Amino acid sequence: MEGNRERGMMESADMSLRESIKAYDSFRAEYDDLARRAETYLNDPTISEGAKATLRTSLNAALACGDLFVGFGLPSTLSATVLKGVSKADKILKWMRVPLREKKEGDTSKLQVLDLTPDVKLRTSLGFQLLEICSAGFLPMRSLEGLMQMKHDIPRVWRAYKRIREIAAAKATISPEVQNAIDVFSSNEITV
Amino acid sequence: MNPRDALKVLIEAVDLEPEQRKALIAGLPEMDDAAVMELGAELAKYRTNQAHVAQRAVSAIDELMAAEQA
Repeated sequence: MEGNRERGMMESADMSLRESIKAYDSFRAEYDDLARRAETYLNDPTISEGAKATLRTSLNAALACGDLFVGFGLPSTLSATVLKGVSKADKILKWMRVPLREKKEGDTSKLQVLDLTPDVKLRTSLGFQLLEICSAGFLPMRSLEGLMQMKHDIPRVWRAYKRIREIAAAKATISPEVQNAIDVFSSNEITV
Repeated sequence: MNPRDALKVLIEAVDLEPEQRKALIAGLPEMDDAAVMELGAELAKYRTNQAHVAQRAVSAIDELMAAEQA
């Protein structure tokens, strides 16, 4: 009788431990994964905008380098302008389809990602395109357009860095209450 | 601070999904002492490491910004 009770208590303790470890394992599996951690950061609008700006800057820099070679500049400028046109057309069509009362200021088209120079006006792009065609691809107009976009994107990247710093600084600070709690378990071989 | 209270503070302090946090806090009274100590030690280690990694990220960004300003 006593033995059964003891066994029952042991099993209950064992189950409790297993449940705790399972809960902790699921938490570790989720948060130790770098991609998921990045996703947590990317949920922040400033960081997300900065990440897009970084990607755009890299692509624009690559295209600007390519533009220095005659023969590559014209197709790259042409394709970038066509993608910009498609993105703008999609945005306009979407805007026309949505009833006036449902229109919101921040509404964007999914095809907007195709536009590598969203802060450069379409007519400016078309002007650059015309100049590039007139010069038979000798004028590096794609580089100029990329530079105009970088002027807008670089501040976005810095804003994202500042936001990451804010989040990291908050995580780096351990409040006295939490530090006291950590100290309670510090005898259990806490290593950094 | 007793280990159960300390564990509760740590559960509140680490990044957990609200449901996970609620489940862990609800299960806290039923946990035996060994489980409390084991989970507490793991969470303490996690929070300390997280602070350490975050501090390195802050230092790296500070260096980057200082280099940009120089």
